[in-house]
Amino acid sequence: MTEQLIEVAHLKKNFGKHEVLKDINLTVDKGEVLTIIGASGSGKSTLLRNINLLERPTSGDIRFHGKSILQPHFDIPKYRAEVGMVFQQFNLFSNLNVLDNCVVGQTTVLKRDKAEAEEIAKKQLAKVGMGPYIQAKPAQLSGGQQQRVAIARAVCMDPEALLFDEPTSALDPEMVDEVLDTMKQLAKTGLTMIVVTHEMAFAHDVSDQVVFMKDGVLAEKGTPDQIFNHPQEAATQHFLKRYTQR
Amino acid sequence: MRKKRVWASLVLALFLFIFAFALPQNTTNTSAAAKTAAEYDKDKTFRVGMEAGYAPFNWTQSSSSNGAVKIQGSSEYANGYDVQMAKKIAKALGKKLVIVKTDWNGLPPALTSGKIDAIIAGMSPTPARRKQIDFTNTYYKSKLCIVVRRNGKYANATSIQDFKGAKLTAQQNTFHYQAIKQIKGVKKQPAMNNFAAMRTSLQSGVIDGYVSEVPEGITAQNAQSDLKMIKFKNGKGFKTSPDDVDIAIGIRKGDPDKAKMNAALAKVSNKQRDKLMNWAVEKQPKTSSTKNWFQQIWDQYGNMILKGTGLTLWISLFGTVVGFLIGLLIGIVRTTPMPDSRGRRGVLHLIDWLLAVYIEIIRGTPMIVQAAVFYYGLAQAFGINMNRTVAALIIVSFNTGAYMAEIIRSGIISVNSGQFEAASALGMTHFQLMRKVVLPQAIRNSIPTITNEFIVNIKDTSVLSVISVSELFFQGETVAGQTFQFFHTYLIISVIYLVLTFSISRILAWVERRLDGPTNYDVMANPSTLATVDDSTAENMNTPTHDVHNTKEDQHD
Ligand SMILES: Nc1ncnc2c1ncn2[C@@H]1O[C@H](COP(=O)(O)OP(=O)(O)OP(=O)(O)O)[C@@H](O)[C@H]1O
Ligand SMILES: [Mg+2]
Repeated sequence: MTEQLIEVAHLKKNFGKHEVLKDINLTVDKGEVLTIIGASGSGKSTLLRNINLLERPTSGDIRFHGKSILQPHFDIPKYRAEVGMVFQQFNLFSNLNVLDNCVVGQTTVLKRDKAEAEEIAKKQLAKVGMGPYIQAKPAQLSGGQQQRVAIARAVCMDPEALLFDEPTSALDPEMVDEVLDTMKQLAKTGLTMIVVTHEMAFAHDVSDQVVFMKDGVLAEKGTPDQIFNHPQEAATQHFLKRYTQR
Repeated sequence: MRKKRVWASLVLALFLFIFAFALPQNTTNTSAAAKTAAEYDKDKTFRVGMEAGYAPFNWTQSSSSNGAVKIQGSSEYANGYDVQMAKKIAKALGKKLVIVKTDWNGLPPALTSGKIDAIIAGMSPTPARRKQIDFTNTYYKSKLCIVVRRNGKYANATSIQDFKGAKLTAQQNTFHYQAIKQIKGVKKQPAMNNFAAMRTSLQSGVIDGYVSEVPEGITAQNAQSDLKMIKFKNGKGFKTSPDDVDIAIGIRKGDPDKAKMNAALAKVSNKQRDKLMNWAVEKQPKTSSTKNWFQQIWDQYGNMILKGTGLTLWISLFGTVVGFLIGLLIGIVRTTPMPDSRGRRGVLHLIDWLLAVYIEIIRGTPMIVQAAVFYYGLAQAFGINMNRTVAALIIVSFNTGAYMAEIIRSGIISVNSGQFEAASALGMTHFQLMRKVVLPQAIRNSIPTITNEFIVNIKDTSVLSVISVSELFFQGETVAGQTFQFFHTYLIISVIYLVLTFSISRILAWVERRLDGPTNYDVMANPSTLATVDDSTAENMNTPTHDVHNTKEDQHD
């Protein structure tokens, strides 16, 4: 029996008069990998940022374990620790070295003691192949290395779900694979993931569910096979054609 | 933001308006001041304010020789005609004499606010002064003279009208300066703050002479051979009113001791007064010319200057550190995101507005005014008597705080928004993300501006001389006033300022480099971690590499 972890219902988001998300409905089961694809400006980032509450939805509801995250007095910091986020621009804390980037969340939010946090951090950094660089400052690393650290930082919090917003878009082509590989490893551990990406091969291979987003609505949903091999909507076909021709 | 500014300025205007009306009221009925005076009666001290830099009436010396009296809160001594008179009065009152060294312009407010009990500083009872304070009978009668260059054009003048076309000046806020008008066709120059400045201007030819009183004239002539005092015969000199040439003791209105003081003064005959003045002219500090100018100044006043340097450094260091903490706190509060609850939002808006008002008021007024309003205002309006150094520390801290608040705020704003988002995405609260992530970066980015603020503080503590804090500049003023070595003294003082500010900018540049850490990292820094790393990297990083190839092949199929 699969358990619903995140549920988005009739979600709307306006920036002023500009309606960016129009009636989004989505469920993500525990352990599932959901990929969101779509053209630039279609609202993919906005959707992720709403799920993480970096933006406040205009209307509709988002439920986590069946409980609305929009209710008053909801413990947002705790929720955010459980649903982590990896950003396109990595956003490593530039004042901290690699190790401390992975330790600071654990000690301040989860109240782990420093030794334990460091041990966990070293383990996760080793898993993403960043073990030798724990002394380095973010500015001294390549983009791909930074993004792997960012992933380790999110994983150190023992999240139930991770949100990825185009984690490889800011990377040079030769660094894309090292990050995608790391993400594949994570998917295998049974972590719930929502991934916004333009890497169609990754979406095809790793996802349980793919949604195609267009102008603030989910134009088409399905398994990778349905979306990539038998798209129903003209917009989906058009979009995929551009990407596979590359 | 614009709207906020407007409001803040309105409040500032209102604040000044209220203050302007509150103060004169208190000076006329002096109820608060009288109360503090009563309190001090119990102390049995007689606190006398003077410049201690207007020889032969009053001067500062470093030993207690010739019956000098210790200056309050200092290791120096005051002496002169005024000091000897003050001793007689204190004795008649049965109180202990305390000399409070105060700037000339700070004397009346110090008296009305109850910080001193009397002004014995060669002061004349002018009608304007009589509006604010009361005076005893005369304790010295003086006469106006003009000090000129011995070899100058006016050296042989006999009448004030001989000074047609001459550039003359006098001390600010004195009747000397008013008297210049009596000379037809004179070129009246802007008034100056002290006699040392006037003597130097005269010697350098900036002015042709300055109006002074006979004792000061004799002193100038004795101390500097190139100067000459011109006295005028009756009918040829300045017309003066007794209000002016009479020199009397300034006291608060309604002072119960007035009769006792007058009785004490009556016992000193005119002959005794002249004798005392001659003694004072004789005993006042002299400039010996055997050593070079630096040694001369340093031997006699080095200690004073060093103490002033220490105080300047202490006040500006304390002010910068506390101001930084104030700025940090305000910076955090003013960048707090608006909470959802309406009540809390209201409170935050109110606090934010109050802080904006504080910043506008402090930044919109000169520190010299803040110091005067705070120190004399508190005493006058509420009878609060504060230690000068404490007042200085408070003023500089709050002043710096306002500037630091904006420095820190712009530092926070300049931190990339991704840093905020990543920290909140980990579940950090506003306070946590500020402390661990944003402020370290904001502060690091602000260090050059903070250094600047520290340097400004070192220099700006000089305005505290208005409340007679004996920092470096105030000490310099005193030394210059006594050695008449205006230029040389200030040369020494500016070198000290330069050494202070230069060292500070070096030290903070070093701190800045330390904060940045090494420019490269050592991959082999922690061998114990590397051991574990190697194992896991081996198994974790190899498998995905295969996957990549598979994926690509799949895609092409
Ligand atoms: N804070 C904001 N204020 C106003 N408009 C915004 C804001 N954030 C996003 N938008 C608008 O919302 C729309 C969707 O933006 P979003 O970043 O979600 O697109 P996206 O699908 O992630 O695009 P991309 O693939 O380029 O990242 C855009 O038109 C954008 O201009
Ligand atoms: Mg986006």
